[in-house]
Amino acid sequence: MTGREAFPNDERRLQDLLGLAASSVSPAPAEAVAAVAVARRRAHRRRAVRLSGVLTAVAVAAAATGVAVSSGAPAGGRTVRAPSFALTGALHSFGGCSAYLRYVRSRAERLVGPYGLSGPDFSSPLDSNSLRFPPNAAAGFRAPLPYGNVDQHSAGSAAAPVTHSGTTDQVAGVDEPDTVKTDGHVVVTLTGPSLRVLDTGARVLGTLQLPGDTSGGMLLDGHRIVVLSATAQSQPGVEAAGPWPGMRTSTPFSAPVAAPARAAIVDISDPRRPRLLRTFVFSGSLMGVRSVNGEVRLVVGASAPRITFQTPQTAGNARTATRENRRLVRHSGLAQWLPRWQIKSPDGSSTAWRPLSSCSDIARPLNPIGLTTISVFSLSPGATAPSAAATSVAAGNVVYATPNHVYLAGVTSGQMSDGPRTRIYDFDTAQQRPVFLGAGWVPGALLNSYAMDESGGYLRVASTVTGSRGRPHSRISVLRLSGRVLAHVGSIGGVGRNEQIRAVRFIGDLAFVVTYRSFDPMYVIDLRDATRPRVVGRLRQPGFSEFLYPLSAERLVGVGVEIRRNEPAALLVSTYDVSDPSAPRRLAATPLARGYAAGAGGYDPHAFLSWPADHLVVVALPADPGYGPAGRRRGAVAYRVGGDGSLTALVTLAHGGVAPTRTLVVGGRLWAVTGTGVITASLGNLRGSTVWRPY
Amino acid sequence: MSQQPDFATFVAESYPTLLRRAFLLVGDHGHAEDLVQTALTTAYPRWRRIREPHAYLRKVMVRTAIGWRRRRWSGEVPTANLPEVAGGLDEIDERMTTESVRRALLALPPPQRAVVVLRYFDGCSEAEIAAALGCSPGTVKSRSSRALAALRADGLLSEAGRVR
Repeated sequence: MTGREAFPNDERRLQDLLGLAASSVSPAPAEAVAAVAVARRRAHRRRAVRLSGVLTAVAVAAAATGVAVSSGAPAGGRTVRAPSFALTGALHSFGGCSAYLRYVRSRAERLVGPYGLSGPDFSSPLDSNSLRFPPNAAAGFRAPLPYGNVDQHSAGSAAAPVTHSGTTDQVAGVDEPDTVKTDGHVVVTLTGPSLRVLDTGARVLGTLQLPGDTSGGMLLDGHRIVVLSATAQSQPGVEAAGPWPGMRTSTPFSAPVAAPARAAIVDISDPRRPRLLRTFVFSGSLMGVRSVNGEVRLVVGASAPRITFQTPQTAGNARTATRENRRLVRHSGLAQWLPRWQIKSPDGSSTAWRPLSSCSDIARPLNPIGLTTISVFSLSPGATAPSAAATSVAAGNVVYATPNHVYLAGVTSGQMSDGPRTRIYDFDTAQQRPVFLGAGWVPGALLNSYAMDESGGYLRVASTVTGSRGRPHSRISVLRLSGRVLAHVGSIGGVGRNEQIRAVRFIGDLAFVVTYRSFDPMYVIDLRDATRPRVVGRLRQPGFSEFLYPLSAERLVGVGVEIRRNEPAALLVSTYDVSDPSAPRRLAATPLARGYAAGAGGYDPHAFLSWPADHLVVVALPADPGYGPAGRRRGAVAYRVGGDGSLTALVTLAHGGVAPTRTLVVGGRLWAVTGTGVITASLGNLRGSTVWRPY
Repeated sequence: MSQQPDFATFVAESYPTLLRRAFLLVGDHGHAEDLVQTALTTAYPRWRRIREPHAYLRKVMVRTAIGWRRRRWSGEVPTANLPEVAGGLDEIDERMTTESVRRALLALPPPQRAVVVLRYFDGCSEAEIAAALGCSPGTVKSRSSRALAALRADGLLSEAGRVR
């Protein structure tokens, strides 16, 4: 072998260059296993063909790869030589239905096995039978309507709504689904399948039992409520979220198979008789939902074709099953792959399936690997059809939305040796019909949607990067859409070495990043110069915040975990003075709910309420039982925030050992909502005026 | 022959190398996978008779890649492939380097490209390259020098400082 030294300089450089270029390819071990299986299968097939004397081995070898090869060559447009290399063209469309179909068939054929497109524990996600309503569910709300069904409420809604708050959303003007919603006329709560409409005096006006999964929360727009099925949970730093286009693994179908995406439209124009109007069903899982001015934006990821695969049990043995499944894939049609939707009526009837977007509109990344698509579309609560969707071969599960954009982020195993990276897709939702704008990526993984922030045309992203020897550090990247690429503008890495991000909050041109190993350094990062973000301040204290909320430009509230003797000891509420970004200070801290241990998802922002008019913050406990035995203050605690940042506990709202999970302000009273009723208290006299109203 | 690893073990160990070589040979990730798969499929039935699996797969891969280019892809100009996404500055740098290497390689005639990959990526000797390609060492020499000249003319080798 020729040694490195034997070459003159430019040949050594060539060696380096080839090594670097080649290192962009880094397959997962599982791919090798898949390659062995395919080689065996094809060798057997080739042997059979050769014995029949039809073709030479070489020709068959070529044919065996022919499908993939021809699909790799796109239909037209690519024969134009690019004028010069430029970082544009992150994605282009398939340019035709046949090109899309060729792509998915050839990719799937290569991946399909005896159990179809996954292992034996894979549950078929899109069996339309599972979408049927329970037989008795419809009967409950189809009783005749004694009051007539329209305009009962409109007289009331002509009156001015009472003063009210929502629950805490990330972006002003972008509503997030939750289990309680109000518009100042009515309050709607969702407890499992029970949807209740309450008046502003906390009296239940009407109840509706909804069929199907409602765990995605709801949105309220006038007389219409949109109730959503579960959204896929984001799992920071975990690759369980599935088949990213760049994910180099042979099991790209291990995505969590959530219930099919559903959006049930409920009419409450007569609040005493909430009515299910229709349920939209989408093939795929709900990745995220936001609402802007009543327009609901849905992000749906479709993970698998609608093919009923054979299994070794049904086919007799694994080899037959695989062969049969490959045949099924080869003969699959567009209808089995395209994301689609239908309407289920409460009477059990349903419309025909219609495609969400035409296959010629599906964006195709270069070298896409996965078979999943992401569709972004809007749905007006009053409409009987969703908008045409912007669809891309993509995957992701963290949705961040501004009034005009939807960003989708998904972590992938990197192709380099630098650990996972996160792909981000940008969709323009300013118009009724969303448009795919571009894609980019940042190293590392995102904590949640709060790790993204759009400001002044820049997307700022905080990620935890796995550095050398698996040591994490944090990074803020600034991206800007350039052509069809979310191009990198500036970044700062190496923040919080050996520590994971626990909370992120972007406020104007400052980023507050809480990292944690045993102490809580809160870093303040100045983003005024997008090309050169820099750390300007740092605060160290025991424990860490999981959620930061800006009370003003100078004041932050943090909700997090108090650490004592290296153990999580309590949920901790703190206030910070950040008027000088270079010297953030903690002003006050008070423990709440002893025994609280950080849940996997961190503190739920929806459980936090700020009511500035009365200098109140209210902290409810997360719904999950992540905290230990009942703490001294189990319940939602309302604090008055003093001018000096001090925190004075005013009242703990709880009833019969049931801790509320949401609080909000409705018409001069603080509401704490539980699964069995509502506690209210007058804002002027919180301690002395609590009232319990069971449902 | 008896100490030769079984097929699955060999593939598990050398798959990344095979795929990387294939990527350099064909300049596209998907096609690279196809190339490796084809080579493995060719090797599998005769695995026990193959004395030098690495040399054998090198041979199959370069010959298949050259043949593919002639047979099917002559109409395609792969430079229309653009890098997929952008990221941090380091990554952009790396991406741009990868992309310029890829483009420069694809501009070479496939036999010359094969020589370059075997020589500078795999570190093969001229004799090994000649054996893989089924040509004389002299041909390897001349192809190699022509390829280097082309890469120098392309400017690829003068981009100092790109590579860390």
